[in-house]
Amino acid sequence: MKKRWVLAGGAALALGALPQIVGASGDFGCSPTWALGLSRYECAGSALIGPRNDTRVNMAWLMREKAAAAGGSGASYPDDDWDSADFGHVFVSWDSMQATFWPKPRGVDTIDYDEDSYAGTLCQTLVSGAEAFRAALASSKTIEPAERAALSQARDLLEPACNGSDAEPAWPSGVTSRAGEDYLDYLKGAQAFYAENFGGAAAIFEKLAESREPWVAETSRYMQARNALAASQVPAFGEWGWYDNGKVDSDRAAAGRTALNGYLKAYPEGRYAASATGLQRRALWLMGAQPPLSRIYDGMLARQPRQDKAVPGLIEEIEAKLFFTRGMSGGLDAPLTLATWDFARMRQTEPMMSEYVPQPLSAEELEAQAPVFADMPELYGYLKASQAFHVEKDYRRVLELLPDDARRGSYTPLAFSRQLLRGLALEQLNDPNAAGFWQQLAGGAKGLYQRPAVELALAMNWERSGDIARVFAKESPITEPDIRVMLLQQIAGPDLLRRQASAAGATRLEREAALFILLYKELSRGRYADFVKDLAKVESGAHKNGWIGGWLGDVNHEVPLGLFTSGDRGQSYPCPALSQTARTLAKRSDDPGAQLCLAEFYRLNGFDAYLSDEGKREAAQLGGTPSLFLGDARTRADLYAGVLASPSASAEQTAYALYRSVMCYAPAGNNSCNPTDVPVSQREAWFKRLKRDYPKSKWAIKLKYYW
Amino acid sequence: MGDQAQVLLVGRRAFLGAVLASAMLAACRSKNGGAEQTVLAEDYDAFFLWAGVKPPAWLKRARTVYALAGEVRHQPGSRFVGLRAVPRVSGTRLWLTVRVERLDWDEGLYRAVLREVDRWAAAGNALAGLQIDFDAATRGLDGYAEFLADLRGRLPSQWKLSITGLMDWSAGGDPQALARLAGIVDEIVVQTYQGRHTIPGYETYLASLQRLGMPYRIALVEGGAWRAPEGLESDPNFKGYVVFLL
Repeated sequence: MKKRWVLAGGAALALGALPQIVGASGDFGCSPTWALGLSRYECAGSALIGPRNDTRVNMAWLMREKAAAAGGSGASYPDDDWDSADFGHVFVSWDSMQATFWPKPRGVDTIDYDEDSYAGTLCQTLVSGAEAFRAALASSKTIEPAERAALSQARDLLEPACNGSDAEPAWPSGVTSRAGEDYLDYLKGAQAFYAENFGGAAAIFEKLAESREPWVAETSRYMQARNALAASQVPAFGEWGWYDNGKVDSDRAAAGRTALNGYLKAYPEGRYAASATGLQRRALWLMGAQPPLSRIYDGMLARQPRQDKAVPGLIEEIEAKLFFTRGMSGGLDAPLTLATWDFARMRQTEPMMSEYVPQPLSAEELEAQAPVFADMPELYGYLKASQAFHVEKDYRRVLELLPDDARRGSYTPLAFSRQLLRGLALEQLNDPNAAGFWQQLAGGAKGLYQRPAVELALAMNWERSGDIARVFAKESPITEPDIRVMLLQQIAGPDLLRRQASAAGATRLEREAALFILLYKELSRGRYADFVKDLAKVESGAHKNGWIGGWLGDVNHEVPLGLFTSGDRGQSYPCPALSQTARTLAKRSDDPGAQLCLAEFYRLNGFDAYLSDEGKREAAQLGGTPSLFLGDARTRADLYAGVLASPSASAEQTAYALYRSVMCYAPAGNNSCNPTDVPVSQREAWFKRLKRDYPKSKWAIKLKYYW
Repeated sequence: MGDQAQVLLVGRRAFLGAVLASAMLAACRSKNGGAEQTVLAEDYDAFFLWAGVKPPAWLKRARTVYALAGEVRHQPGSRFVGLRAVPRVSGTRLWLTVRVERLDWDEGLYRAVLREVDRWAAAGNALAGLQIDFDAATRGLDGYAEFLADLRGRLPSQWKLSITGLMDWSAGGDPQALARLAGIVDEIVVQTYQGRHTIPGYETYLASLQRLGMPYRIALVEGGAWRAPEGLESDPNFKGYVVFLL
């Protein structure tokens, strides 16, 4: 069996385009940190061009600069999907950016079941090449009809090469005319190419480039180039299928490049001119030649019509080939691509399993790049300001580099980023004018993802200056639902929650979320009398769909208010309705039976995770300041401890509390009832006490182990 | 999780060994006196070779390699994304692993994956079979078994079918779903790590491996912490370790 490597998708082999967890457990999905001005990569980016964003998002913003200057994009926010449902309109990933600016029309994704695509391999032209070959035969004036039929049929003999066979096909005999022989030789060359016998193919195509048959000559000339490029990659594939672009035979690749130029010179309007032009990029990539490649890509980014559906593919090609291929050298030589890579180099940390950790960017190095940006002073100024902000943390310098321009009627992506970064520098300096600055910028922030970013900045400012009421005031400029709901959920006090639960102007999600959080916090903070009163606000027939605390990330944004009125009550330990339990606790907050039933409510209706996760929110983001709803949640562990400490608890109640305390750690020692664990010795002590003191109770009989 | 099921969580061997005169049973506690060790690749002979991991020079001496060939991503209608050119190694038993994020495959997707299997076989590799790496929810194992049964029917019979597994499946999976899986796949490789680290508390999860009812391997992460729980290495269904190379 001959040595062979079947070339897999070129783009896919340039690894590390989207840094993600590479481990065998496929975690996907993306939750943003709700703050702007982050200096590390996150899967969720924003309208602030910078190190947080995916390089493709930054490229997309930069290339939309001209388009945006010309007037509105005509685009609109995409529908929520599971990957980006908790982004609001503040954050944007590469996927949601494509869905926004280059949406695929519906119905385009239906797969043609009959087509075998061989995408990304040499054989991607197996089918199209057959059509072209047959069309050339049909229009040739020199081929005899008998030969034409034989040759047309013989084209099918190429397919086994694409499926791993290297057997020599049974070529037709009886093709004797000169023209016919040339066409037949062409088939042999193509078969050799698909079978990765590049040396054999090269010899055939070289000879046929002189053919008197115009189609054969031109196609062979083109194929010489294609063949040379493919051949140059052979040493780059290791025995495990690992691709190392640094091991490409660069002489072969350069020969391919020369052949492409030769083809284009001989056939400037040729059949394969567009393909050959594109392949010039491939040749440069294979040669590891970054400077000329970056110049070509910059030109393409600058020229692309904004709505063209080819743009995402171009951006991904630049990502994979220019930025994230090992072994490229020479550096980037053109402004848009250099700027994009500069932003990536400003990242203060890289994600955990990222293969690429770009060299950090110093101010001196950025200064030396000035000639590349000679025609783009705004971009260059923004780069310097970004470096000052993210790397040097020199916020005064940011203000020097980015003058106030917050009163424009509208902003291109770059102009908006400049003002946003200026505002973030003001915030870092605790400038008293920051809030006013945001309110001015909000007026002109009309582009997609712009206004919500400003609202986030303003909301965080008001949150930190104790002005959360302004967010919910009648004329509040903060209308972005995610921002409002997040503040209610994380830090709002009972009065604000109660008000928003029935506010006329509020959306359904906001009203329902406010009521849910109010009820949950009243219950968990021991405000039982308030709970009973506010429970009346839950509509009869309220549903139980949705995730507790997860309504922002839920595509349907459902709030399970029905849990409070018709939650599960379980069979093994009978409890009254929650309202009754709450009434009892309002009278006697240490009533053991009611405490157990409250714990049952939490346990059976999925509140454990939410109870445990409270208070774990990172401080430097929206809703990260101390909650205005005072008091800590009493978890199930606290409730069981309360029962065990109670002098009035019955034997049954104590036994059940002991049983449940141990079961918090079932089945694997992970605690469902509380954020912190008690030592194993305590769990053992509960177990022993249950068995010793209540040996006939059904709970002692049921409980076989502790964990 | 039903209270009745608690009885099944402790391996029978450990259960029988630990019965004492009093009613005190300490479950899921490792009795090994030895300390946790760090997983060193050189101590093992079976490996996961993932995308983005440069194959070490000594890998040809390995007995078994599970190499990631490509992915099926979660976007609806997405195609098979190849992440590796066709390997060509003889001597090492090679598995073709596909990382999967959704189970609603169309015909084109099945063809692409099965053609990849053909290519690897045709390139002279000692191909053992196809492995699917899919993180099914513990409650969704029945649906996963459905998919796998269909896939098994499409895969030529000379190739085995393996799956990776999460520790939680053995701890919490429905017994009928697990039995169904056992009837379809030839082995399951249970992962004890997330990212670069061994998942804490692995001993208690692994105590329930008996419930799998099928041959299994244990996957460890290179450089991670590991101490074999009691009884594991003498379990007849335990078929050895696989180290995920970083």
